[in-house]
Amino acid sequence: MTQPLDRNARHEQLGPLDEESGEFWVENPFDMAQQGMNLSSYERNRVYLNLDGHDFVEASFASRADLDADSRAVIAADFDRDGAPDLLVSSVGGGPVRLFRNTAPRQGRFVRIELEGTESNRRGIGARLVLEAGGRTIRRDLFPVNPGMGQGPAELSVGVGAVEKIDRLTVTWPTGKTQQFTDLPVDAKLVIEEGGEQVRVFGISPSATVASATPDR
Amino acid sequence: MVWCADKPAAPSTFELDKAKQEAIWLAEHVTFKIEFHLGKVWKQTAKSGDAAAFRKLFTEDAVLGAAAPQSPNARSSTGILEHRRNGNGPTKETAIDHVIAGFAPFGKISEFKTHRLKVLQVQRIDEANWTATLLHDAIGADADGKPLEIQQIYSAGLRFESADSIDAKSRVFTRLVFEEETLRHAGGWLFEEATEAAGLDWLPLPDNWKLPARQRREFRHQIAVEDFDRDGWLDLALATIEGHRMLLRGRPGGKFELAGTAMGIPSRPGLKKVLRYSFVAWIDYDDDGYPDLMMGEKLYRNEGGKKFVDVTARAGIKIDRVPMGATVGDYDRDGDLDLYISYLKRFRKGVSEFRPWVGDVDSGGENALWRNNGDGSFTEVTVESGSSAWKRQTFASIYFYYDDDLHPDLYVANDFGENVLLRNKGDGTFEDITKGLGIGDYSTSMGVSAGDLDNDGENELYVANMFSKMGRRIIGHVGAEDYPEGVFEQIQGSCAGNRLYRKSGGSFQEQSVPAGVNEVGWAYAPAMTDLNGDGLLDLYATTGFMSYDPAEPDG
Repeated sequence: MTQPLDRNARHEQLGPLDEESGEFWVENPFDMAQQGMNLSSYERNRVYLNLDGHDFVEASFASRADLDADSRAVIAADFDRDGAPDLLVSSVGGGPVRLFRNTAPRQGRFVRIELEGTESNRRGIGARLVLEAGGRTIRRDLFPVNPGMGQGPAELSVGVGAVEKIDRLTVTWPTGKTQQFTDLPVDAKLVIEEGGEQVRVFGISPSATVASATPDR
Repeated sequence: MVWCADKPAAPSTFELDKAKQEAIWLAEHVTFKIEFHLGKVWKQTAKSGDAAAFRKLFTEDAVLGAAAPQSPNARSSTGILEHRRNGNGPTKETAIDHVIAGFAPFGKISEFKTHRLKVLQVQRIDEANWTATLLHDAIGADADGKPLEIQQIYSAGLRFESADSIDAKSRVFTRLVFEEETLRHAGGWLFEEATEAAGLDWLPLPDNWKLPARQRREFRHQIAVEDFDRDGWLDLALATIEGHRMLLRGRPGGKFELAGTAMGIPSRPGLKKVLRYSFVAWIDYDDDGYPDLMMGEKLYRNEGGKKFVDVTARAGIKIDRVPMGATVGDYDRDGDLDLYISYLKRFRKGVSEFRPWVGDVDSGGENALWRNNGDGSFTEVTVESGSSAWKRQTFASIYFYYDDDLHPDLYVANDFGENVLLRNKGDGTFEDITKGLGIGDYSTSMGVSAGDLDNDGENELYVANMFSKMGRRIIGHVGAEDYPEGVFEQIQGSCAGNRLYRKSGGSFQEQSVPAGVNEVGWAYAPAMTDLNGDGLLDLYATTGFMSYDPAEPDG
């Protein structure tokens, strides 16, 4: 703050310290970690629930996933295969990898979508999915996201709200070609092959077998 | 010679006026005194309801202001109810008991996880008088074990002869007015920790909290998740700077089993710490549907989910410097997956040249783009594709669709320097279009996520930035007039907090504060995911720099 143009700068102590209250001084912030001093320490990871697309309510306090362990990466994916995304959190303290299973009261249904590219890359990375359900349009793009030090899988867990079915699903492949399917189930795993005539529908858990198939339009 | 400079050259050094520095020092000193000495009495009063000690903190003629009744309007989601109320304004007639009545919600917490009195801002008015904004907050559970969170903001007036006279028995408050309160309670918990059940609690990996201070590291490992054996359960790959390489297979029932060594990926931890060892990513480079694995400097081909074969030499990918992460996508849309690597160059202490905290755009490493040739080999095309994102300290890069042309664009999050949006032109090259879009995020970034938060068909960006509680306090004491042109922006950027760039009608607007997602902390990777199935993407944000001892003060 006092010498903003030089992050190497050293700043002299300008007054007395109240050691009883824990006040301390370090001449350069980079020294803190090297000297074993807390810096932005024990900060709790945050959960923000999206209320309406614009406002969020903070839910960290009720999450049990608000660990204060200097976390770095998070991968949101459906590890227990119940439909809802769980959180795999990596941290440099307090346990290197911790898994938090989603037990939140559901406000709607989920589908898990996997793609099989034929002309496009096999995993369909870069495909755009547009789901129409209950009068709403939800658009998700498939990328194995890496927001920092952690890469997620090339699959999508999509919440679709309190609906009984997906009215229409449009897949636009990286080639630019599109496929459209109607009346697809929720609480299911959908596998879509590029150029295929049907969506392969599975139970949400891998132990379930093929439930049905829906014809291409 | 002049190279079309469009703003004046920044000075290489600058030191804030000494008197200002001393004023900031004193304000911080007073902050510590208030939080520690007055905080002790304050928190005790909130817990016990006994006001005797609290009364002694006030002058005879103190101006007080109590809480107004709670608004009947609540916001709710997923079993969480949030109520807000404001204060009734200052009045001399209000008794201290009414102020203490405002502490009543804290009495509902039977088990405190945190309980704090924090100074958000403190200003000196004259020789002996100060004003302060105070945050009183707590998180815990009620008598039924249900989660509860309370945040109260007070405006305060304080009078003291010298900072040293602030203690738990001094009559320093001349004013205390309740301003606002947010009260949240929940019917249950959103997550249950399954680390032990998943078999992830025993991993023999270094953990800062179990290591001596000198062995602790800011970052140590990267993780990557895929279903590599296509059995329907997600698997985990992990690598550390010490050379641990772990492949953990997800089994039915949610348990992970160590599978690496038997499948051709030996773990070789050693004493030497090399940052590039921690690089890890899944990339199905041979397009057979079985994701292949980059680990450390090596690429392993996945043989039908049964074993891995080292194909590093054939692939030709070179990993050097400090790779912070892999961004996998088909940038040239030729049907195979290419690899973009985010590079950092470590800041070295003792380097003689001046480096600013924000706006440093040439001390880092260029990122690298490796094009998949489709025959098992890769060619580096960073220069001809224009994808280096310049010499910056990149922490994370993501592919996302900035526009709707289906050519994946790159957003690159940089520490110390501005972030970069590289638009994919569709001809194998990228152009830097950051300028003018307002998404350079002049700050110190450590992570980024993209997604359509408002379901309007356009992708938002949520950028994780450095943040400092102290920085936020100090910024109240300085202004643009205290610095050479452009420097105050750097000060603001160094404690920016997370930023949310909402895209609507083709342009971005920064909305992290109104959306309530700004003050995360010293943040790293954020995730966008729909946690409750309502069709709206929620946010999870990691944070925290270095924690050494919970009993020691925080900086």
